[in-house]
Amino acid sequence: MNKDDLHECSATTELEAKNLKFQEISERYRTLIDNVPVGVYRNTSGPHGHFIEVNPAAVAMFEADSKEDLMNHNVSDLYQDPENRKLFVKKILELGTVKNEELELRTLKGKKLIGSVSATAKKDLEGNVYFDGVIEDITGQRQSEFELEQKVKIRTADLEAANQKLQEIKRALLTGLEDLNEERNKSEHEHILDEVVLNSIASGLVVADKEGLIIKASKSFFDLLGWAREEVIGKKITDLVRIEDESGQKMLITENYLAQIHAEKEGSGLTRVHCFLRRKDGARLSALVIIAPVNNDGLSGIVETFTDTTQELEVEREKNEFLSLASHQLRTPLSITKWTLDLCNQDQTNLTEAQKKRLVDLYESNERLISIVDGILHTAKIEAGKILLKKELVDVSDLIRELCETMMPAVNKKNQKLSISIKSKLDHVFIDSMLFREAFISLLDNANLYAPEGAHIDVEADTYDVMTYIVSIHSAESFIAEQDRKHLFTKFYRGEHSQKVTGSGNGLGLFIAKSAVETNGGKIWFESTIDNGTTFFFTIPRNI
Amino acid sequence: MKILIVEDEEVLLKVLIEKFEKDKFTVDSAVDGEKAMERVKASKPDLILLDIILPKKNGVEVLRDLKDDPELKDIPVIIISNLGADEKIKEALALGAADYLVKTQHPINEVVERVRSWLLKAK
Repeated sequence: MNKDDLHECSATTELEAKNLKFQEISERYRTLIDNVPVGVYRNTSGPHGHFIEVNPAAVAMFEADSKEDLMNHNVSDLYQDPENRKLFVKKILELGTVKNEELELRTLKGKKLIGSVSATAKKDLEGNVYFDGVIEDITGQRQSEFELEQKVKIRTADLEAANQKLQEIKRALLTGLEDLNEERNKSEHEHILDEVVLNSIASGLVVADKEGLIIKASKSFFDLLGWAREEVIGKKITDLVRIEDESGQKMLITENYLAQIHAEKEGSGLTRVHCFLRRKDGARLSALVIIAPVNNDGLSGIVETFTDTTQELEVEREKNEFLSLASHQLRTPLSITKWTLDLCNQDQTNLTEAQKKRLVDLYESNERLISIVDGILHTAKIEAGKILLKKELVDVSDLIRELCETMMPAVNKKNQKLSISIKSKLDHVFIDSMLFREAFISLLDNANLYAPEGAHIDVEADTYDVMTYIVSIHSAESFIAEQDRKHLFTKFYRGEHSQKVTGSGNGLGLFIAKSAVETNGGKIWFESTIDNGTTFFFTIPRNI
Repeated sequence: MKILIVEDEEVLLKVLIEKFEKDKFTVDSAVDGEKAMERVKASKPDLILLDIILPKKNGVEVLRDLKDDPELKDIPVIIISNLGADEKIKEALALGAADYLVKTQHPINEVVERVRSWLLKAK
């Protein structure tokens, strides 16, 4: 072998080595292209385009039976809308490289797919443009994205709806808050008003619960009785306020009223009592006590007011004194006339019939005037008696008998018969005896006056119920006309029949009786029928 | 029977004296409380008709003095007054007056009857 042969041999070996290397590299790239899980292709740039080369992933992606099957189709066949191939080609040609373009494609079997395509335009040796590209099937991804998007949309819609609801709730809450604030302001305002009222009210006022524990009290209560606020609120009213009668005996007015509330007795109405109170320092003052029930929003208790009546008492006493004196002054000339006429009537020897008649008329007229003055005085006494009440233990049986005795002259004068039947022992009754006298005498006087000659008048007294006695005055021959009944107890009322029977009544008898009975804590009423006559009833409390 | 009438109203007093004398009573009289006490001690009546509203000394004070005097306390006293069933009347009864009459409520004959009845009781 010579030098030329050696050189040729060396060149051939180098070439073979290079060829080997080239094949190796080609093989490397080939396997790379074949193994990548994304479609790799080369196609022509025409509007339809055809594949020059595709990798197995592209074949699988487009559901081709084989490489040849795919390469036998136009690129535009793989577009859902072939017009989009033209647009994409235009874009690549303009930009040179397009990356991650989302294209709506389809497989050879018609299934839709979304491809993310990156392609670059190249020229071969002859100057023909071709595209090298990578296509990734992002259908699943897009579907997921779509589904996610849908979910997001739904969630967003839900959120928006929830937000809307929240806004509504917020609005409702705000409105509620505003209302609450308004209510609170109103309540505060009312509370302030309550305080203002409580601090301005002249009478002492206390609100207590069912047990008598004080919840609220007015400033005037503290002032009236000398207690400090902290000594009053939460304390029992019956421990703080001692109520007495004129003789100093304790009166259980509040205790009894609370007992009624506890027993939930129907008709626990108002109680008004003129009495005396003890201040914290022991001083005594006359007062009007009024108790009323409270039942509001489940609070059950009492409202009690205490009004200082010292001045009224003084005024009443002065009035009483004045009336006493005035009646005395009025009665003096009346009694002079009465007894003078009495004497004249007893000695009528030198009088003519006409003169005798005049004397009789004068006498009767004077009697009428006496009756009117008596009535006015009695009425005034009853009015005064309402706060000058003097209760004491009275044997009512004895009192009735004594009063009937005083009526006997008048009864005998009309040949009437008076019977007394006392069925219960009405002793130890705590009443104002003067008022009882007024009531009883008024009724008996009426019975005597309006019953005819020879009539029977029956007085009875008995137990009415656990708490009460009843006294009745019955006259079988009396009847009260329907039209007179409504006004019977009114001041100065005299029915037609009464006026016929006697001109001398003053129309105050029954008014006085009613006032006296009620001030003593009783009730008065009557029954009258043509067959049975008329009966007046009145009750007196058995004990305090 | 001797009675003392204590009454400041002159016309009324005259009427009472006339009536009682007509009815055969021996009558003494006084127009005020002080005179009343003098007359009681001087004439020792069997009964006293005593008004309440009197000058110088009122009827209740006279009654108290009478009841405080052992020699005079047993003389029955009938109050005659126009005060009605008043505090003073109650006070007088409590002090021991035998009876009271409201002048306008009794004819004069009844006054005489009451006096007779109490005089009988006193005997």
